Amino acid sequence: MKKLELLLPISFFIVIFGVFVWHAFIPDQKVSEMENRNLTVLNKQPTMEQIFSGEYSKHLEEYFTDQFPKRDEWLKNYILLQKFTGKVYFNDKYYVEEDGWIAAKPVVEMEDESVRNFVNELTDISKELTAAGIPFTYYSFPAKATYILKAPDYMPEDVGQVRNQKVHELLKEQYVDEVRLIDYIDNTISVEEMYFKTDHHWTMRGAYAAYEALIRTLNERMDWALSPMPYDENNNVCLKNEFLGSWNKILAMTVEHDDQICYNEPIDFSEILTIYERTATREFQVDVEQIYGVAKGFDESRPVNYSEGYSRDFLELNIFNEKPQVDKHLVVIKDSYFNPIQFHVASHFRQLTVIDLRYFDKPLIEYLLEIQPDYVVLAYNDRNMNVYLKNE
Amino acid sequence: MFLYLFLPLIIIAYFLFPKSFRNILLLIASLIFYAWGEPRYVFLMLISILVNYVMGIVIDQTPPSAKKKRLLILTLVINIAILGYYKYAGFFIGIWEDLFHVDIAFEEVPLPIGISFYTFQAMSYIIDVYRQEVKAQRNLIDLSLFISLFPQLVAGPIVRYQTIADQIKHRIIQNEDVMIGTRRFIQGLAKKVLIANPMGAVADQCFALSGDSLTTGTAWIGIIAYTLQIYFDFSGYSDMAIGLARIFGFKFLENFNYPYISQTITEFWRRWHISLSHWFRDYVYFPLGGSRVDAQWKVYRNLLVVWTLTGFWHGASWTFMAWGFYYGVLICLEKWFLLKWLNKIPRVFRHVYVLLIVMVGWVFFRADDFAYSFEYIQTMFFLNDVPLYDYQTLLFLNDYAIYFALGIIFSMPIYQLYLKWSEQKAEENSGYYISLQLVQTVYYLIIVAIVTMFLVNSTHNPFIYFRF
Repeated sequence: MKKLELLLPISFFIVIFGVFVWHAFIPDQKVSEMENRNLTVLNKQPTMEQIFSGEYSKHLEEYFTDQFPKRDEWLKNYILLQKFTGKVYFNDKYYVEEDGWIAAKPVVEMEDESVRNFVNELTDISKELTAAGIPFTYYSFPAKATYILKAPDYMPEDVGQVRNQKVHELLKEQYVDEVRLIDYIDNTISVEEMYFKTDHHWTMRGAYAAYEALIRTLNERMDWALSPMPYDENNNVCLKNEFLGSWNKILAMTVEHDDQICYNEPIDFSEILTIYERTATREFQVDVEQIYGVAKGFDESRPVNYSEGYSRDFLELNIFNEKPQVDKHLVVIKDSYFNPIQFHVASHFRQLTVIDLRYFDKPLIEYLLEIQPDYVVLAYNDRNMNVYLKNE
Repeated sequence: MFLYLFLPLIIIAYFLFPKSFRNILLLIASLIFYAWGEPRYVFLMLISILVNYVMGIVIDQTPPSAKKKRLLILTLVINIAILGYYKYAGFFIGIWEDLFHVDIAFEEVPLPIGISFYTFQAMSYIIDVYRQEVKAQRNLIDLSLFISLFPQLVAGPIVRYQTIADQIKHRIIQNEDVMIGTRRFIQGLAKKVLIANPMGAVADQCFALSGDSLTTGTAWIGIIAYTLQIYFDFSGYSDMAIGLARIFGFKFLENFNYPYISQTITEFWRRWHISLSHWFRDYVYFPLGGSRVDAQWKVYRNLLVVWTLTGFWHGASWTFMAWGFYYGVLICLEKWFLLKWLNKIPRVFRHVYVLLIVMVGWVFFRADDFAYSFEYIQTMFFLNDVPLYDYQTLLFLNDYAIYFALGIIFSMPIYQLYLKWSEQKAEENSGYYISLQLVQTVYYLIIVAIVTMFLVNSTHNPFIYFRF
């Protein structure tokens, strides 16, 4: 009878030893789709310095946690536990409404220093380009976190809109040309139509409205007579694939929703556009389908995220147009909000260069002065206050 | 990694090895364990062990004399010098610089983990040898094992040599020890991961707020969270240490005994970090004369010295010293007249008195400086012109209510009483015994699964007492 006392210890040791063996035999994963990050893989050849500094034991701890068996299931159950215990903000960041909307926790700090640094960086870019005769405009694209303000009644207002106003006021004081795009977007479109419920980006409808506003404001600035292709509901084509919203992925896809990747392509871009992708080592021609809407070729059972749905971020794309409305070269320095509309914009210009500074490998100003575009636009979503100037 | 790699390997090896090799195995495991977090400082610990080993034998062989006393003092000075260099040098140099307006080139060195604990264990061994309460350990492996035994190496309890001297040589492990040890280890793990860490998240956010962003409600939530965090963090570690040691056949003394149910501060310190209180009592308070002195003021002096040193043991800062002195003053007051008064008031008020005093004390312990501590306390007691609550107060209440509830329930000996009752019943009823073992196994495995879920999701959460 007394041997039953060993039931708990033996079961416990079997569990912990079993997990250890399981861990040792499962192949390592390189990426966590759910967390949208690279996982730690085992460094099998540590240096003596790494061992004696304690760096290697930290690495092993990270490796063990990152490669823990059934990691995604543990993450998912943790979210479900938070749901069960009635937490308002999952992972202390995300608020979920019953109809599937995921909203970010309001930001209450103005972060004056970040605002100042951002404005200073934009001012420097503007001054250097203007001195070289290249016009420059900063565009703030309305971010979901700034306009989808869903939260319990007692939560304070998010400062995003006020902070965005502040950025534009400060830029104006510095004589930097700027456009707060939300002021020019067709106000008959509701903000709910503009954004995905479960992702931090906008929908095709929101992006299209931004494209129309962008072209109109460029016309005002440059006396161009560009006519944006009007939005036509009939051009809408949606994928049936399940949508992997970025915030839903963080919440282990536990939120039910009706989000879909949709396209609205008034013309066949592949007929007029020729695209070159530049990486750190080479530049080569690619097809429209390789850049935009890769997910169109997916099986319907395969879930799709925003970047597969529209476009991933490239270091640099050069898009040439056979039938431009203006014989101009536009450079757009962008973040992922620009991705759904890059070909829509490209269809108006002789050349569109799209640069993503998170990956860009050259000193920006030097490069722009070298390629001598007709116009440079920096278009970031309004939560993004880091220009990512690395090599200046 | 400790839970799912180190622990299963050590336990399996331990029970597979013949008894004569088990101490060597535990010593190697302890050194690997220490080197895992502090690869460089493992040599410092080995030097400390060697010095105390040699000096222990020399002191033991020296007949009672002034020379023997000098040898003791020399050994204590070496131990304190090692501890002082790593823990207190920066603090004293700072004072020196302030006093004499000089600039001394001194690069602060990182504190080796657990140095306060193993140094105090080593000193207790040396003093006990000097007092001839124990014989010096001639076997270097056995003494090394006493000082470095991995379950309690980095955060206590501070085990006295005489407690485990016999167990190092001879220990019998029964099924019951392995069961109780496993149960205790899982309890400690759950205390740390399921209560201390969430409470720590709340406390960190509250104490990160500037004075003008802190409302009275949030200040109270922050300090209650910290009160629960520090108890479950430290007692959780002690439970894990006591449980693991029990699996290996060692029986350590208890380090916590539900301190938050105390009715006086004197009682609180009989229930909180018992091994440290006993250390200071036996090696500082009694040698100073304790309460057997010719004048009452000397008792108070002795108490104040001991408690200020207790505070200083926790860290080289004025706030830790003030925290220790604060308890010294309170214990003096209780000894003087307060205990008599307290005995006359209803029990519930005595509990409230202890909890308030302890929470105010934790503000000094947690805050970075005096200015913030005083501002925080003023906010707690409506002395600052701040709102009663704001959205953060409501969020904390909503999101962490379950963890506060668990913390408060398990601060009381309810589960302990249930365990006692069920074990007694199991002895009388074999059917109940079988179902108890089955249910207990399932219950603790579920806890391990929940803990694993929290660990996979968490970032690094070191124990608070690793800093000391």
